[in-house]
Amino acid sequence: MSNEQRNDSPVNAGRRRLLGGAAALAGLTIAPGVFLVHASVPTRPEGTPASDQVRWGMLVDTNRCRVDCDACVTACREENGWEGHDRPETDAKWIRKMTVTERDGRQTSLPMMCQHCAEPPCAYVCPTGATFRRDDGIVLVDKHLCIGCRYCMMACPYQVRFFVHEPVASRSPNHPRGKGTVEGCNLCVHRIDQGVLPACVEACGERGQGALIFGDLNDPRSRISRAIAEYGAESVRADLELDTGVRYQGLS
Amino acid sequence: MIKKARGWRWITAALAGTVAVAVAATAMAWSGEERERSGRVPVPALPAPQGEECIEDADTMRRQHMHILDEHKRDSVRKGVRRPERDLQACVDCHAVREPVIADQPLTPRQRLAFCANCHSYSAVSLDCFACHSSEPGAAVNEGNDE
Amino acid sequence: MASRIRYQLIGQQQPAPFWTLAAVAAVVVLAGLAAAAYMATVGHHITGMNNQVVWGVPHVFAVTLILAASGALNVASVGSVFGRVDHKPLARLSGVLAVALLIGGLTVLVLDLGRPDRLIVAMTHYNLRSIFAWNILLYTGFLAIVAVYLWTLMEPRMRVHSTKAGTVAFAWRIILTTGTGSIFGFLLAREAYGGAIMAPLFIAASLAYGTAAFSLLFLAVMRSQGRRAPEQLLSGISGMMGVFVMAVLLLLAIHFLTLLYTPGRHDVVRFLLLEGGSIPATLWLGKVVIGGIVPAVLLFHGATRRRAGALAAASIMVLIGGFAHVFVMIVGAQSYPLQLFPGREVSGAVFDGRAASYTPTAPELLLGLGGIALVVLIAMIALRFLALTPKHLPDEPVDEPVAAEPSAEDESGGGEEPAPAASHG
Ligand code: SF4
Repeated sequence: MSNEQRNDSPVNAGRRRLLGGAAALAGLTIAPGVFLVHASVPTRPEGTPASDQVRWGMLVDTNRCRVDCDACVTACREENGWEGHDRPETDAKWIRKMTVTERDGRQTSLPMMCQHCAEPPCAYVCPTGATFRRDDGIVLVDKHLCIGCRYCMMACPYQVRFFVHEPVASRSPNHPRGKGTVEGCNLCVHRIDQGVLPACVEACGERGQGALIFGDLNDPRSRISRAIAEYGAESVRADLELDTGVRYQGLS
Repeated sequence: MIKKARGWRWITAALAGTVAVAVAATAMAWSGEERERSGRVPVPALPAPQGEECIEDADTMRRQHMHILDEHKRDSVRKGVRRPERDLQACVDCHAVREPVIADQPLTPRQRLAFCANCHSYSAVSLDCFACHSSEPGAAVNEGNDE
Repeated sequence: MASRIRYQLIGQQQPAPFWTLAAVAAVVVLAGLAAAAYMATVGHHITGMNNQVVWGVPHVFAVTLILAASGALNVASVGSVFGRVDHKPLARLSGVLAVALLIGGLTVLVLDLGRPDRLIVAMTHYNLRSIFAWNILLYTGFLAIVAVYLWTLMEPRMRVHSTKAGTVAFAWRIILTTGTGSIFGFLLAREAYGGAIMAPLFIAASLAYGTAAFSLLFLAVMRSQGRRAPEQLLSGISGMMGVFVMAVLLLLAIHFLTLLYTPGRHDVVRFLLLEGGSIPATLWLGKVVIGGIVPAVLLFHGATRRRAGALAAASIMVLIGGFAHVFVMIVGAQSYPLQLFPGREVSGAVFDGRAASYTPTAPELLLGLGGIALVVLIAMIALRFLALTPKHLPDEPVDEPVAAEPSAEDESGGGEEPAPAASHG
């Protein structure tokens, strides 16, 4: 299964380079055909808004994920440039590895990041509307509006939002970030919009354990929907009924 | 590097950085003629862009770029409407200065974006974009401006 | 009791001590501003706040001051709305203090934002589903309403509307405190908050802390003039505050009991009450003993309830208890680890499965103290330039000559709430 992912990654990566390089020179239009890539990441033509027909989601197979692997974390950090200052208490960690130990001693390893809830408490409480849920289900911070009140961090049950505690030393063109605003996993929205898998999913497939599946939860034929239909999946803190976009297998 | 001081100045550019801007602007390679043509305040010198053509003609861009950027910001961030040629990064890719102003010294963000900064300080409008956005063309992860 | 009440300006007769005190307050305000500027420059990492405790001591100060603000209006409400004649002359003081406290609290709140420079964004973009956004409206509305209320108290032609304005202000402040409480009540992720009980708890707390703040101002004003407050009034305020203090303790107890009976919340109660290090210490010592039992004794006991000194001491203790309470509510609740996988042991990079430690640093404390100093400064300036202080209270003991300050105010009478025709310092 994870081969599917691996197979189209080079295509996507190549296309991304093309786009990046061309855009660097001047404005350009890409033929719509160029966007036709793998079905798990359907794309929409440039200039059209995200659609609520799509609900992006991610499936974590904790049976594959391993304690000693952090390919997803490294990839995310490089992609989005959230390199810290070696101060674990205040450094951002858009995605982190967690180890859950059962009473019987069995250990589960899993990545934890923004769960992209359908009913995001963070967006609900944000006074300015900076935090919002895009039509395709991605929860984002519009940093132009964020005043850094951190109410969203109080509201989030997963501890996956981060306040930029100090001036930013290095930043990625993929994701603007600045001191005094709140940020978190954006599901690599810049990649998704280009039809490319999120960096963590790509890395997990290439260098990790192939434990992550990304796709459209609304499309019953998508790989993620089929995997969920076949083996089931659950949300972390399902009791809160937030209808998360990130689901886990092998938790219980 | 006195990075912290630089960051603060960047954010409050229009207010506190006027002097610093004047120094930086003098350091820019600009011709004496342009200086003469100006009135009391020298007309800002703008480094030449890399590309052939902007998304609109120069006059429109001069007057409307903030509205174009603002609209694109809202469309792209909140609705997901992507138009790469309108991204701020596209502006940077085309307009950023690439050769060092002083030989062998890395460009400061202000020098790199002299195209924006010179004019903004001339018209005393604060330039907030690069407190968060990358000011470097191309590269994947690059130096920030405000540390 | 249709006695005439004349109002005066404070600080005219003895300008030196008055302005010295004001200058001290101003210096502390400036220090607070400097601390805020420092925080804004280098970022919040120099505070004790971190990825888990995202609201620290500035919020504790801000929330306490905001709570006290709505409670400080209580004396005015008792006078205007509930018709207690002996409280009426104090309505102006009460209103001005409410405004000062709110401005002080909001200033701290705003300066602790990650982007205080974007305050304008907060004023122009509202997410109307957010309690926080509603609070912005409630706070600005409160300032406006109290300003109008003060106007009706001070302008003879408007005096007929003072009861109406007082009633609106009364209703508004109950809503406002409910709003403040709801900021915490609806955070389902935080185990320490208990939904519906937060609103009454905050209302009781605001009444207690606000009355305490008011008493301190009132007693300070009286003392500065060498006057003694009427015993009847002292006993009235004492009794009122005592009831509020007990109500807070009771609601707090109910809050914890409710949590105990909520499945899965035992651990957070144990954390807050017993095991959370400085948190239970702050709660028991700060809130229950210093802020609850001791002042309650002082306020209710026959020997002390009529004594100005005892009331002042009790007020200070109630306010200390207020800070302790809000500290536990805000910092304690956040320190308790979020339960991502209830009942299972977790480890990870962001305080997973372990309590966060939070030690406030000097800049945050300075910012908070600056907020208190701002309250003092605003109140003093108002006392100096507005006719807020009654020259003589009904039943005020006059065993020594009243140190009447020259006043630009004329008098008015006739059984109604008196007011000067115009107030020019
Ligand atoms: S910190 Fe920013 S995103 Fe979070 S609630 Fe406040 S304004 Fe909204």
